Amino acid sequence: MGLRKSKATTSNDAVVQDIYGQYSVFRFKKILILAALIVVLIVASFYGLTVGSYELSFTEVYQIVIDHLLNLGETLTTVDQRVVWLQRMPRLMTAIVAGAGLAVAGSAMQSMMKNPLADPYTTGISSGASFGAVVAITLGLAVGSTQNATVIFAFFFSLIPAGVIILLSTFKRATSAMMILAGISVMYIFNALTQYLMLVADNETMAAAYEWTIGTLSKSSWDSLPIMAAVVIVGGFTLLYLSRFLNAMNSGDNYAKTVGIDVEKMRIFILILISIISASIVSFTGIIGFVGLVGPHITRMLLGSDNRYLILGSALMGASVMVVCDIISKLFTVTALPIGIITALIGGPVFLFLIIRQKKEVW
Amino acid sequence: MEVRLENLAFAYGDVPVFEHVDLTIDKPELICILGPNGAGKSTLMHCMNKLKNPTEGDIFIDGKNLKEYTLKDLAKIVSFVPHTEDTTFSMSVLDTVLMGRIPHSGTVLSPRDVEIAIENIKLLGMEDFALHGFDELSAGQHQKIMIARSLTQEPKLMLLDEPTANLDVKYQMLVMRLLRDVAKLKNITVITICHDLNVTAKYADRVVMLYDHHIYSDGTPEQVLTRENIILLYGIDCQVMELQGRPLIALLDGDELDSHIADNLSAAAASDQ
Repeated sequence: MGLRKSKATTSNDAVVQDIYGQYSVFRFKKILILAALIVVLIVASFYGLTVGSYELSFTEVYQIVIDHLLNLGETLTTVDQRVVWLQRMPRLMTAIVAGAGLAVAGSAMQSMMKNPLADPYTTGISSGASFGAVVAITLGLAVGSTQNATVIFAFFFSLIPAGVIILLSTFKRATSAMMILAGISVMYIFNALTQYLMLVADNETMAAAYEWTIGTLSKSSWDSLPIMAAVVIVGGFTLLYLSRFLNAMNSGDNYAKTVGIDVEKMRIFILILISIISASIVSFTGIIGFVGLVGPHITRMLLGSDNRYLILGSALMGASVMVVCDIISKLFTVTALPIGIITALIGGPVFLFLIIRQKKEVW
Repeated sequence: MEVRLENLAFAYGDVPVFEHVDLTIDKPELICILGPNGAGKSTLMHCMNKLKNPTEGDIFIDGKNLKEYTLKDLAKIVSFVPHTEDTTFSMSVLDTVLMGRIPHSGTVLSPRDVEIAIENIKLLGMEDFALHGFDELSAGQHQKIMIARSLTQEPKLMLLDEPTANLDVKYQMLVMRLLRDVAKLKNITVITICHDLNVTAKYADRVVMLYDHHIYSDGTPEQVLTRENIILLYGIDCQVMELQGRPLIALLDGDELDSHIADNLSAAAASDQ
């Protein structure tokens, strides 16, 4: 990510040495901020596990966690154990993975598009996913407890916008404006199709379809987690590896090319990464807004816009925001409102406040 | 470092920008490309670093055809300073300059990479701003940082697209002087697009004049910046004098400069009477 720590400068020049030292401190501060974000995430997660509609004390919860970790093979017998291991734990893990993935995808999308308004859904991923889910639900494929068809349809259709952009890029240069406009066109097409399906659907299907579009963590299970986690981890680290190229692309396509980056190919590759990360989350949780837009921006305020730190910082920030929003949802609302509503409802005012407080121009 | 352009041509569809351009540059010096708006200066420069592909002809860098260079290989020997820096999310000055190491370094920057960047920031006298945000600087300071970044790429050929645009007189002179000195100090061939005749006359080692789709004149400032050439290029009369051993061009106001307002003025005056 940054420099190798052990080696210092070998320069004899006092000015160079001085700035080198200042730069080490500058970088160390960023690492401290990252460490602080890790602590926040851990504390929030530990607390989050103890919150829920089913009454369990802090000690009871961690008694169960420790017992089960020591005897992993044993079946979960009591209701208490099942609540902690089969509901709260996967829900917490899903919140962490989804928040991290969406925020990483958002920060990469913003840097790649050179646009502070960009988020993981900018190229139409969410509208594709909604359409896919609605198709599966109206076709009656999502029967009973198995939501597999819905997930598969949502995943597949959410990748279509990226596919369209890749196809277009063979005719036209893949600039950020082209990508955003193509994404918006595809989004309108999908929205229109979704609206048509909703119009002809019966009430029950319509309710189910509508409910799907609102992002929620309540469907979390151990089954859905591995795929999502694997995609987010591999995708996230690949984006981290590409962070210096994202930095150069932020200085303009021409400049990026003259430091040796094949900008159009790189942009398509990053788009594919972002799309797969977002699709793997959205298809399981539905559309969780705001984390992917605001998570990266709050991180930019803390860490600056160097993608070498921003990508990792956004992951931690996004995960923390999701865990905290889930806690709030469980603590303060009777029916535990879906996370998609909470992130926007709380995130919006908080972000407005931060914009006003922000002295330095980040954007 | 030798750059050779052979029978180079570029056209947008049927509209030629330039054609039959032959040019050999084989000395580390400051070369200014001069020409009226639309003469194809930027296009010519973009052909030299693969931002555009010429429609005809070849470019050879150190004897090797440009087509055989990958973008990455080219980036190791040719650097580019764009017209203006166009960042959306800016970083610190040092991190900005460190981007120049991308063609050379791996994923992890070495202490040496950082040293090179700091040395170049110092070379341009910007050491007090190393850890400031890039967006906190003025236009002239931006230009210096972009040059430092370009030097950090350790190129043999440095291309600059109008580095003195948007700068006040002092910074124009400073930047050009700096480029001239850097060419000598670091043994780099520096090619820059320039609009200001007098700044060019004062600092350029060689001037290449683009006019009427080809290289109209090529040589020292004394050879290229003559009254005849300037009248031809811009349609403006002038006096060419000499100051500090370099040409000094004083442009003259005249009827060639038709603002179309003078007619209205006289018409207005006539109707008043």
